Amino acid sequence: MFAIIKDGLRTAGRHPKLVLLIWAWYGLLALIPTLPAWAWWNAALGSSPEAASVLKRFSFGVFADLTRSAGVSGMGLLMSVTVAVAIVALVSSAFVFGGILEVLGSDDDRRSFMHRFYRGGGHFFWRFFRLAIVAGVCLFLVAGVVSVGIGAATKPLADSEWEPAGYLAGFARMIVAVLVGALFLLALDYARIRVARDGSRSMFKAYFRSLGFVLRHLLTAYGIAIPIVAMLAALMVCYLVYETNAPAASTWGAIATLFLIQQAVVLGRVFLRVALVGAERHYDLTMRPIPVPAPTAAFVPAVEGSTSAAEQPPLSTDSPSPQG
Amino acid sequence: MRRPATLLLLALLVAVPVLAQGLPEKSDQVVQYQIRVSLDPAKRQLTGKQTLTWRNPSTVDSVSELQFHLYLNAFKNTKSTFMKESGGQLRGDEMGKDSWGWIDIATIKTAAGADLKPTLAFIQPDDGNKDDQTVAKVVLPEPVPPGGSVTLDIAFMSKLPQVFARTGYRDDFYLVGQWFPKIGVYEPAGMRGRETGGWNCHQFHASSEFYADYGAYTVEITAPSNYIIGATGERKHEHTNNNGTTTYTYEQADIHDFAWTADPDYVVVKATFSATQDVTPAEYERTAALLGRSVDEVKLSDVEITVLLQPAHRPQAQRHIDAAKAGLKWFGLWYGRYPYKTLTVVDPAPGASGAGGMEYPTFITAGSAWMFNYWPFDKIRAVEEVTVHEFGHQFWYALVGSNEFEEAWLDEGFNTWSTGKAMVATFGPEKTIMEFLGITMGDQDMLRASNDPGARYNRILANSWEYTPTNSYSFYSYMKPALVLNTLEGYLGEQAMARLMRTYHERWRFKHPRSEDFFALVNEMTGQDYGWYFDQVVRGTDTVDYDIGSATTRPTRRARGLFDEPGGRKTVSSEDAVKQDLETERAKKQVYESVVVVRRSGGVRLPVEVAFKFEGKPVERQSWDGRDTTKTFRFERPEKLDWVDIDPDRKIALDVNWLNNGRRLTTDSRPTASWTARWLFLVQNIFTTLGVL
Repeated sequence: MFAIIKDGLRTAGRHPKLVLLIWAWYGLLALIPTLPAWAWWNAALGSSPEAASVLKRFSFGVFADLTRSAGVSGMGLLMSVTVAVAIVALVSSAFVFGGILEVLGSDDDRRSFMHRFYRGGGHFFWRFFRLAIVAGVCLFLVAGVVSVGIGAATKPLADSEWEPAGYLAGFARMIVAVLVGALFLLALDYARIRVARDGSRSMFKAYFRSLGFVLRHLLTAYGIAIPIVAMLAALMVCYLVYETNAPAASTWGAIATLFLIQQAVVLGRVFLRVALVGAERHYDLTMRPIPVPAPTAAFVPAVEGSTSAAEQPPLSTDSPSPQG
Repeated sequence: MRRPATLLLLALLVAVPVLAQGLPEKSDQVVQYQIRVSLDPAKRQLTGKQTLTWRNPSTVDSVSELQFHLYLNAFKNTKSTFMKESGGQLRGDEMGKDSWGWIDIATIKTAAGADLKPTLAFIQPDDGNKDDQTVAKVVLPEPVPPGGSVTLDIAFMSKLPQVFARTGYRDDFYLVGQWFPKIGVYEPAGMRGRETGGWNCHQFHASSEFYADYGAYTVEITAPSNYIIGATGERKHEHTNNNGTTTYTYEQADIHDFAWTADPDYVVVKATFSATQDVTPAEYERTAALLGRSVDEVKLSDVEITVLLQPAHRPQAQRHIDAAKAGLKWFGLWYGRYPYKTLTVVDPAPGASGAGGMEYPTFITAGSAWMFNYWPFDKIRAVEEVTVHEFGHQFWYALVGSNEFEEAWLDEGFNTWSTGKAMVATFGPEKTIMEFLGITMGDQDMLRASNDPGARYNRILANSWEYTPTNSYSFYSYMKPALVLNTLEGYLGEQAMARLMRTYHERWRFKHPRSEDFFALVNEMTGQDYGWYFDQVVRGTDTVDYDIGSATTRPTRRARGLFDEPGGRKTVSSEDAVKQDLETERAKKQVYESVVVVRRSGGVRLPVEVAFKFEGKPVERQSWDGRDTTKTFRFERPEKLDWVDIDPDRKIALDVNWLNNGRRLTTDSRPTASWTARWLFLVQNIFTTLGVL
């Protein structure tokens, strides 16, 4: 498992352009809700001496004045933007994941990196999007059943006179929700890897086969994901520590520093996500080796455990040609 | 012999006014309660006997009937005024199903044995709701003469509700408040502006608290011996009975209510507030200087603090103690020594949050939760804020006994303002509410965020149950009054405000002031009539909002056209004027015309300062009386106007929008960049979390 994670990290390290491209991709998408916000704030804050207080710290007073004078509810606005961003993010993920898998699987392709990324993104978009819907529906249904079950199971805790029990019940429900959610999301990852490799057209079949794969190899699947998610959590904690302790970003230099650190964190997050996909892909390849080709094959296929993922042929070679 | 006598007379003449300014030591005790009560946990019931002596405080009126609060009848059925107004919930807590509460008077007799029960009748002075039984009257066989007194023996039974509104039980936890027949306040003519004497005894409302006369209480509480008891006042005796119960005797004078609690699970934590160790000599000296008093006058006294804590909240013990000590220190220094020897802080049981955040004399209930034990939630200062606020009511409720039914702002508003100051003195101005994961919030942030421009349909000075909608009670009783006092402090200055509040407290300690008394004191101490202020912000409904209509700064242009001058008519052509303007510009001798239009967009007219900053020059200030809706300021200066700001020191806390108070003529994009960077980061994180699913 450690080797698989290491390989995933190496894979991400070998594809800095991919990491940068995804960072830029989401950076550009993030600019869509950011530019109107910037215009609004610049008009309201840029000309107000009172706004100087936000250079020192987040000011709830300024935020209240700002939203009230614009006639909007601060929380309502935040929620609507978050939902809109979430929808765009979910749709865009189908494209980005296709691009990631194609780039990781076509190292020997002489075509440009950008070509391969967009080729994969476009080729797999609808199938990956359908997969996401299948996974979402399954997750929704199962989450409903599980939440009823876990709710009933933890009810004695929640109703307990011992106050911490209520929090423990909530914590237990959250952990179960995360684990169940992770199960379906891991299955989605492996299903996409499977579709990219096998060229499957039936998303139901691909998803449920991958769900079965994850359930059969539950410990390893979680074992690969959890350390990488832990690294991601550590990254966010480091940022929070910085944000909590750094001097207020009141000068252009300090604002620029904050911005650079934030972008480094986002890059780090993207790197870790690519690493997770790389590790999952490596594991899938290990557990479902490429069938031995006919004697006329131009290359000697990899056998489980005999080579590293880096030495494996690209995924695109064992899947229907995306170029076609 | 004559000389010593003259000196003594002179000394008295000097001393009397000084003493008259000092802190009153005792109340004018109108009531004496002796109560014996026993708790039956199985029935959630109290059985009590009470001997009440009431003195007629009038020097003129004979009083032939007595009025009593029977607060627990608010929970008797859904037709009570309280239940109709509240819908069976208060501050988010709902009444338990069929968990009714009530109080029955079994017997009520005079000391001479006259039975008053046949004369007992429920009255509804506020709303005429005949189903409300929270006020009752009895007719005496003979009137109580002016200054005379009457003693009654009352037997009663109180059934407690499951707690959702201050009083009741939850499992083994009991918070026993408003539990005994409590006599109303007889207000003689002249008291609190009354023209004729009469009872002030309001029904129990959803949005109102209490009002009662000062007196002495001796209360014997009998409860199962495994229960831990806490109560108002000092525990004088403890006696274990043969039937598995224990009787505790509490005594306290100069208070106007009595509450107690019982719970077998309490963790008892004791501490002492030391007037010498918890307050530094420098703090005494600074306060004395601020108030213009001697250090001896601001000296405090030791207080025994008892915290009755839920076992799961044990790690918060020190936080409660520190908060109680902060309250004892700052309220004591600013307004006068806490005169009682004890303070009990009660931490309600889980599920009994309806009992939390409440004040009774020498006895307060806190507000807490298990998660506040641990990082990062321990940086949310709810524990401290609630404890300091409820402690503050010892000064604005217990010691200055305002009528909370009619003028809630005099205790809740004054206390919200004072709580903010005590929290700032303890934690700093920006961290009194929380320091949570890098985000800080202070009391001033909260007040400002609450100051909604749309809140202009009620006035502060109103009966607390008459605000519409009912939930605006919190804004008009807590928040807006605190903003009113902050703004007043802005006008008067810190020192004058501190002296005003100290004098107000001293003058009305153990008494029942009304708003007019505070207004009169402001006028007296400032030597000015502040009616213009209070009429608008306490009696009026309008809001305060000053903003910039426009602000421009541009080079002046040479005049052109025909000019009759002493040497004859002179013509300046447009071409010449442009040339000369260009020369002036090249020589850097331009003059700029700066025009600023400031506006009063709110209905309240307050005088304000307007600050102007010209490039390379110090800030200039000009005053505007704020009476008209606009005022135009014009300047011709060699410097450009950099910015203009109305109320630059933000003295007018009541202003509903500070963001529109000023205008920069050159945009400063740093605040926008700072927020935009964070916003972009947030959105990118949502994308990188959801976008790779």
